[in-house]
Amino acid sequence: MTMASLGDLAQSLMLRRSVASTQTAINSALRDVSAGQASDAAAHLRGQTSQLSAIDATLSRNKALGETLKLAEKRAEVMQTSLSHIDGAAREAARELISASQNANPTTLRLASRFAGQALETVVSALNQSAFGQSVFSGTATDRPAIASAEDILASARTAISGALSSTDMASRLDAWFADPDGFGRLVASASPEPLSVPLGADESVALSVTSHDPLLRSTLKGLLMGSLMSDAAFARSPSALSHLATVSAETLYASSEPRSELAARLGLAESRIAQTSTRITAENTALGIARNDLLAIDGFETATRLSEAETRLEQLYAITARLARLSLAEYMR
Amino acid sequence: MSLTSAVQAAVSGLGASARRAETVASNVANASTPGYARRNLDLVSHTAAPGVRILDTQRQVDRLVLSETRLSNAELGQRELLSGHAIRVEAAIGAAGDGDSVAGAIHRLQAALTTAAGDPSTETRLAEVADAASALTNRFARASDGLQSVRVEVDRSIAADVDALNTGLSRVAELDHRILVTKASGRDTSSLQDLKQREIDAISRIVPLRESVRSDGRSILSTLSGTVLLNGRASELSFEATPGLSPINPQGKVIQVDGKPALASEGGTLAGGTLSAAFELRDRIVPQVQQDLDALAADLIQRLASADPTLSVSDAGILADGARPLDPSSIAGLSSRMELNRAVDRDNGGSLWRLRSGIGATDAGPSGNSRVLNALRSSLENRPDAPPDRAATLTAGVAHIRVSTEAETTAARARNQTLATQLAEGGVNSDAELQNLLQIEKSYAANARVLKAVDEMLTYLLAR
Repeated sequence: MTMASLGDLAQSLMLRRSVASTQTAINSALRDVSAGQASDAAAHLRGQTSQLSAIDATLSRNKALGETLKLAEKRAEVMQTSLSHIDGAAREAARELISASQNANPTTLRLASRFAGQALETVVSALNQSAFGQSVFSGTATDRPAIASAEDILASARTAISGALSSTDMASRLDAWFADPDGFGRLVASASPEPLSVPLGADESVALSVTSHDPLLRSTLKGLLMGSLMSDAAFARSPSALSHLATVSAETLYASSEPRSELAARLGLAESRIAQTSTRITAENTALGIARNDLLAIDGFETATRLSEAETRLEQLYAITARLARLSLAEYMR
Repeated sequence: MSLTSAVQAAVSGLGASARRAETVASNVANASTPGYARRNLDLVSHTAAPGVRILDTQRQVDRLVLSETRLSNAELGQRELLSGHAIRVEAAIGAAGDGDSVAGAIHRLQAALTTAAGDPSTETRLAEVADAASALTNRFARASDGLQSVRVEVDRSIAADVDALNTGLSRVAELDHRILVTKASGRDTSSLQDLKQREIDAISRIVPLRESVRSDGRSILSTLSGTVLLNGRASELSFEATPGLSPINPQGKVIQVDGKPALASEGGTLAGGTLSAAFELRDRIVPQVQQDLDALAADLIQRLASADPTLSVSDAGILADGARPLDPSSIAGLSSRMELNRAVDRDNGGSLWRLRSGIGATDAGPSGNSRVLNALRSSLENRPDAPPDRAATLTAGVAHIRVSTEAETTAARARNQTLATQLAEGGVNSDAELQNLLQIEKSYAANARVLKAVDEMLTYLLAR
């Protein structure tokens, strides 16, 4: 007698497989829930991983760029501080020289001259400032000083103006000396005229383009030199000549405030570009971070539901397996 | 006398019941044995005299489901091999979003060049560029090694599969012979046929096989394309593993069936099954990834070399092919030969300042000079096909292979399991066997009773 029968193995195979697949589902749901995002990115994105790779590439680039920009911001800050010190020293020296020239008192004039000398030292030390151990006004020669010491500058300038016959002559000799690579040129030879460059992006960069070679600094130095070297001027022995020289120095210093502002403005422009890029990068990082999370995000609620469904299913399978084990004719034939 | 024939009939009934009980016992004992086909006793009534005659023990096998299962075995074997190795190929290149990937190594070099360009005077920044470049060469070499090891392993698995196939075919031929002999001597061949079925199931993973049974019970095994592998005599397959399989020496050997080359690719004689997957990995999938990897290495070497203004066309840049500049005609295997230029390797007599001033520079130059570093940085970002984009495409490619082969494996496994369950449905059902046993007990008792009754009748006759 033939009868439709279902082999034992079929049932047990099917149950075993259902249990195994439910356990796999539980494991994968657990992994997703505990990670908070898809643990297998490629499977979650169905093999379309280019967007994720592009996001990671940009994030890595931005991180490096951000670090570089912070460094550059600090450097520019040091440079601006130095420029404002130079500005302050020049203005004060100018004030002293003007008031001394109005008195025409040799003692006050000498004191004003010494003040100008100290102001020169302030300017020199401001120019030789460094950030992170690197000289900021030396251009790309960051390991060398931007300008020689005030003493060396005075000595060289003194030689240049010896034999000057008037304040105008002194001024023009100093102009020639500034242009002379063997004169002033030698005092800033340790610095490089090429400014430090800050990368801003793929092909972009900005230069912190103030170095000790910059012509816009020269009128300040000229005014201070004229003031400091008043006693070395052979033509200015009489008090009236001295006070005239002091006036000329002060006027030079007053006029030098314009080129100084231009320097500060140029640096300020570079600073604002750096700040803009920094802001852009921060905003981009935030947006990319959100996009990355969105790509890999899994609905926590949906995953938790999946998990509890799988657990329930597993429990049901266990109950069925136990019941079916008892449902055998052999049990009832005892 | 009709009483004698009654006795004969009863005895034949007893014998049949005994044989049926034996069959039930065998079935129940093998209820969980995979590959065991349920035995069924074929009974027919005697033609000449009353009684029952046992015709044959039949094996209950659904031949259609069996052949479908075998084809599904081949497909599952093929997909499993592909997805198993696809994971290793993906691991060699690195997953998307993973920092320790080929793409990640390129990002690290870019980041190092950017920070160095912003602070060229600091030696540690230059050192980081050298380290990142060194790490990149190591990662590429590691990727190349990973790919090659997949090829070598797969080549070995082909050799192993061919051996298994040869052994299996000759065993089936031997079993067929023994079945013929056993049948001729009148004994039951069911167990031998179980063995034969198991043997064919095992080799059906390697190559999809179709079995047709001849009138004398022997099997003919042929592939899907119709090539006969077993017909009385087993065909001989031969294959040698290729020594020194590498990107430079990419050609692997082919299988020969009875001395004639047989292809395992799509539409070939041995297509489908694990052999097919192994050849596809060895000859198509992995070499393609290797080629893309080597091309990316060449691009990196070339971009970095041409960005350095202190170098001429024939000089090596930061990354070089061993110690030499890039040779466009020998790109195969470049990934494992790429090295940091010794001129900038401080562990090898080089100087870090060359990263800043250029490899061909005569002196260190200004410490804040960022021109060369900026040029190097831009060279890696210039579109189209900038190295990070190419790396992303390569990563996506291997990820896609892995994900799609995994999905195909899951589908093939589900189909295989469904067929296996279907096959098992025709297997032994202990409840049905026990029910038969109840019936057999009754029939045995009835026959014994008939025998007893006839015996009493005869005794009565003879006692008078």
